Amino acid sequence: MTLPAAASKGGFMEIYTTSLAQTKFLFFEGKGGVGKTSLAAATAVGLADAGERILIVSTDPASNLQDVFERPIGMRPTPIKGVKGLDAVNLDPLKAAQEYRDSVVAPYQGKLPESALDNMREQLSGSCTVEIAAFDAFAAFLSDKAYAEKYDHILFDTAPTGHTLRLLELPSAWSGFIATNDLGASCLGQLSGLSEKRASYEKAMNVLKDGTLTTMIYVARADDSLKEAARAAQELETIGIHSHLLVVNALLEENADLRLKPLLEKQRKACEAIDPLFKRVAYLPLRNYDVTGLKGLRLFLEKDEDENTEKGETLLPYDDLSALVDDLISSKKKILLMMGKGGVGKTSLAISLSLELLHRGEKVTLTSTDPADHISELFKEKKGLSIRHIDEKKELADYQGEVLAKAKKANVGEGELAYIAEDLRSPCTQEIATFRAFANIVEGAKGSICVIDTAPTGHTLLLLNSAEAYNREIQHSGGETTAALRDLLPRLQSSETSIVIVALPEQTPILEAKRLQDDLDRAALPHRWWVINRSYLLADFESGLLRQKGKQEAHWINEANRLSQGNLVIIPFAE
Amino acid sequence: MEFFEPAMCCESGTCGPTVDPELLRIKGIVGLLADNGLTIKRHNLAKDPQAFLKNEDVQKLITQYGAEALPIIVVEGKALWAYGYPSDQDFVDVFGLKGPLAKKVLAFKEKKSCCCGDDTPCGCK
Repeated sequence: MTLPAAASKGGFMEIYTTSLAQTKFLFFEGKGGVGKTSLAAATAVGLADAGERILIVSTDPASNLQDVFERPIGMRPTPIKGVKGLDAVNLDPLKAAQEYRDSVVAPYQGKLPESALDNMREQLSGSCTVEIAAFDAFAAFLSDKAYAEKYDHILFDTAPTGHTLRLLELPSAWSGFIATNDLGASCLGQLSGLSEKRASYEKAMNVLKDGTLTTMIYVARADDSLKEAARAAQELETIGIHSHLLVVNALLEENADLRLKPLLEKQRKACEAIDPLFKRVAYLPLRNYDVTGLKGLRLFLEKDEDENTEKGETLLPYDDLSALVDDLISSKKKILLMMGKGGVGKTSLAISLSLELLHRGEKVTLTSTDPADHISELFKEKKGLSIRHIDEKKELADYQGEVLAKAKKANVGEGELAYIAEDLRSPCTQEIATFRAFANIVEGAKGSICVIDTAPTGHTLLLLNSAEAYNREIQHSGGETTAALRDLLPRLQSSETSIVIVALPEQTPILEAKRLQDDLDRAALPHRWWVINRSYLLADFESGLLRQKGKQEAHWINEANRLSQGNLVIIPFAE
Repeated sequence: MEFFEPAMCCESGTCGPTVDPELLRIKGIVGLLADNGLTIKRHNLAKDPQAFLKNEDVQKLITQYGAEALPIIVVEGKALWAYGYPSDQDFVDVFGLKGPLAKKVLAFKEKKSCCCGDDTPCGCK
């Protein structure tokens, strides 16, 4: 089978534009780095150029709408110069959440002890707060009639998660619990005056569910992100949202370079396995340019750019993997964690690092959370290497089961049980469940270097830290913190640990990695090295497309170099 | 009765390093009492810090001992418990519960109260 016909063959625009024309509200959903914002912005420009009145709303904390349009975008709809009929608005929920947090804490400065203020701040920093703040931000655009009349289409560069929507739909979310603060919903509690917003939220929810009004556009690449898109769609499906359109972005078309063969094969397999839930699928090819500025946006849906003969930025000095390994060995690191968003190559880096360490005569315990568990398949036996696997889904299910069983045993009522069950679906619960599993592994790995292809976020660790102080008290009498769990926190914060930040040489992943780094600093977790994976630039491709693409990496690689203060490793593309 | 509790990801305790059976017990009891018209007001530090300043006892305790002193349990304005929640029997006593309701409250699985008070784990299960 060859790859599906992509945009260059006219297939994309046909499917895409007819789908889009049908609804007023268009949501773009997809994980970081798949090209979600680019697609949303290009679509907005395209529709406006066709004579429609368009508003594009960004509620993504990682929004690069401003970068994409190359101009500042404010908190109110502002016309985009150069595109007739297009307004844009940037609602930063991260900022909103932070402003909210500051406004809550500020009045108590000096009145409550610092430990109490810290406790408050951390609780108001979770990903849930941001999610709800985002929903709050766009509910107004969905339910306000004035906007609906003023614009033919309203585009959102992010979509609410199933978790958020389910929480809002639980009757217990509204029935007094929150109003009286009796039952602290992890995610909803922080929105003051929530009950006044009920009508607006309900209307927003109805708009989302109405397939004649709303289309959910899932953006993915021809890799594992397709599965993630399917999961997101299935989740929304259960809530009653049925109008899905899948866009497979950055599809590499047939190419003679042998190094690309495995990648093409991988793409083909991923596309074949697309969830049948997606009845409409549109394919968009990999472009030879970064999609920024109006010129790039106008080209994006249509074609490649003419070959650019300009030279790219010159790379600042960087290192290779052996320099990193030298440093880890000489500074006697015992716990190495790979941190980065999904799809940046954490598992493959963990493998390369482990092999390099083995090569130097170190003993290694390599732990993977990769659901496919490729690692165990790769090396059955190797001297000095032991392999562990964490099945995150199973850990989560076990943990959920454990909590619910305990809640039932403790005579917790039905309504509250439903609430606990939803709390247990929050992203932080998955982190906690995984953390428990790897506490046991680290505990058992004494005497060898522990390499793990994932890392808890700073937020999780801070939560655990504050919970730790509190739990110490309870623990005297029946608390169930295991020794492994207790010991791990201080070890992670000590000099025997190093967290390696992993990213790809593109704008969004680098900016996301920067946020992860800030998070680590907040939690006082030791980190030093950044690794940039899959560089086309270093792979030195002959092909015009990838050569061109590689040139544009230089700018972002240099940015990573600055962010890591020169502790940067670049790994060339090799699939 | 009022609870003054630390800011937590969720009062179900599911976000802590382990499930906290104590929080589940409290949630169960609070729910049961509420069904019988007996309300316990729960103040969470992140959501309602003002309440922590308004109550003299609470304010004194956390100024002196920090947020670690939470939860603090107040009855008729006075702090009666700190560093933890009351026992099942305490709930029965404070609310003057009788008959089947008292029985139900006492049926909640309680942490075994023990010698705690110093910093050493007392090994009770």
